[in-house]
Amino acid sequence: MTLFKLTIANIKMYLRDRQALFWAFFFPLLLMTVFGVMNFEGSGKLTLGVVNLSPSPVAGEFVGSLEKSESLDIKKDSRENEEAALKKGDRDAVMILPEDFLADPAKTSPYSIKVLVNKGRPQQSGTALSVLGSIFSEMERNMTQKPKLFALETEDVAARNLRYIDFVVPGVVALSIMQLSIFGIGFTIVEYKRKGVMKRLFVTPLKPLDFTLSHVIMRLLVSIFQVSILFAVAILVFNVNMVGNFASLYLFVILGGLLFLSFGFALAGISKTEDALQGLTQVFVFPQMFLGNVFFSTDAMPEWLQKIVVYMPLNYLSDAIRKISTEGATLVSLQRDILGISVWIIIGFILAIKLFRWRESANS
Amino acid sequence: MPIVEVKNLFKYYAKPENPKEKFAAVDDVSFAIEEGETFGILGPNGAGKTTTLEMLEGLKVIEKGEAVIAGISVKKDPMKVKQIIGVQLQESHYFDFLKLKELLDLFGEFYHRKIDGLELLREVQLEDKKAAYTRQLSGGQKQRLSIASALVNDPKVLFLDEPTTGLDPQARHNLWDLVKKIKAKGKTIVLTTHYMEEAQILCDRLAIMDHGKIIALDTPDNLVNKYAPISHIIIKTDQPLPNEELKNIPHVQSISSENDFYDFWVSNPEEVLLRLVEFAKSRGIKILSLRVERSTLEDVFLSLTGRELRD
Repeated sequence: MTLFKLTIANIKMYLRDRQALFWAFFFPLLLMTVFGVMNFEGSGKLTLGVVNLSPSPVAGEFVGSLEKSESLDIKKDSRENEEAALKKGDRDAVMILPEDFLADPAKTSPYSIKVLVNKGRPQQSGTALSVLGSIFSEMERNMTQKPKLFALETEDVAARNLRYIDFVVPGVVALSIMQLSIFGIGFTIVEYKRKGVMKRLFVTPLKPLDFTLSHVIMRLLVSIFQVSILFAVAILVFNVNMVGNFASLYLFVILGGLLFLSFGFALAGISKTEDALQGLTQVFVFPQMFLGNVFFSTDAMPEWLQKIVVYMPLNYLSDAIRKISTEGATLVSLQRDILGISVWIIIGFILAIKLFRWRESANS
Repeated sequence: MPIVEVKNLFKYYAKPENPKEKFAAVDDVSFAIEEGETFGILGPNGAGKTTTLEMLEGLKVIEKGEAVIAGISVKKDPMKVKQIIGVQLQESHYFDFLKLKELLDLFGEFYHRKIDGLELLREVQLEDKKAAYTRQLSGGQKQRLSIASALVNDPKVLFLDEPTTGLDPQARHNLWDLVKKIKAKGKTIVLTTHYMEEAQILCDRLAIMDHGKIIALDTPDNLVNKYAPISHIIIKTDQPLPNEELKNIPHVQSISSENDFYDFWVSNPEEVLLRLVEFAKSRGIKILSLRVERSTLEDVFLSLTGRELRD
């Protein structure tokens, strides 16, 4: 009964704390929006500037057909402007069609087409050149009426294209669970310690277990609510396709919450001030933010680093949530993550019990 | 049987200047408090008052000595003791985002009690603040809330640790009235203070503490009579007084004069006052002003320690 009443009181206090609400809800949404809008991979299209100096309508048609291409993003402008855009890095390549381009159907000598490439993006400009090359050879074959010797058939194997936003949303969700749990509980406890609230509670018959559990339950509920909102926005606003089932998702929210809450209690136990806690928590949180499979895939890291970071608590959590969200992974296939998180929970529990002491917290 | 019994209580801390050595912050403290009594522990900062109190409340571990409250040993059964005591800490902070009534109701829950938070707030004159948050309260209001929260379990013993420190005079008097009210209901109160006036006004009995030791323990009046029996009668007259003659009045210890003021050091002011007035009348001397200064606990502390007790 005390547990229930205290949990209700905690929820009430939490909802009245605007600052806490900002960090829990507004901030992760902001993060997600930034990544959703920025779209790191671009649209997957190459940006090609076209300067058409030819007055011929056929040349215009040709440019029109380029614009229909799925792999090209065509920008048309004067030579001057396009070259400036290229220098700024806004174009992967700029193609200049000469004045006589396609103007005379009887012409036999090759047209000289100039392509300016962006040296800073060799990969993209290389692709642009090969795309252009194949377009021109196709056009040449059409014009010269030569029969086709090779027919290349391609088939899209992946059912869905994994966009960056699909990748990053589960990462942001995992990161939010970590931040909310560890900072949320940490700052609350240290503030209670510093202001003497812990001392006041100590002289009542309140059981430490009730106190701890009420905070754990409250934080888990907030995490579940937070994750729901994040996914709702991801699905409704960013068209993220959540493939897996929500029951497994919430199971990981709870496991992850328990993991990071126990570390929150442990770190709060050894911190006397908010500043000390901030420092300690950053040491724990910061590497995981960047190496924890949140914004970038672990696969992009050097192999030796990969071998280490896969054991990070956040890595297990973002991996599991991502696999559920993007692949619809079942709990059976997530055994490795479940095991990893469980081991970390046990470590966290032991640390929390050793470092967060009722009487010491009251007397500090 | 006393409701609070403290026997040979010790508490050792590491010396701040040399952490390897220890000193006794509480040094062989013993006292007993009867039910319904208001018991004060008076002393300067660092005397060991708060540490003593916190040992009784279970906050500080009792390594040596014994403390029994209502027949329950604090050392052996701290949880049971917590059930029957009410504690106001020296600096009380509560949850920032709970309203006063919610806060008291929650505290009642810690004791598995359904309480009338509003009634408690009325008792400490905070009824109109029931929907306020604690951070919106003034210092005096915070202390009154703190006392209300210490009363949620209708405790057998109420501990007040420097309840008026840092309050302005008006808020202080307000709080004294509240403590008197609680006292009138027959509650046993243990309070620490370094204000003489507070000790004098509120306490039935008083332990004077210095350097971890209780150096005197009695009622405030007895302490004054025993350790600072001298009072001053200061008069101004329209003509000089014959000092040598007046010295023979019984209970007069000495006389000093400055300008037209005469300062009589006396051990029985009532008696001397009568004789002085008679003397002046018989000689046709007019008394222009008259002031009696009784000894206070301040003088008691001074005579016991050779030091003054300051805020």
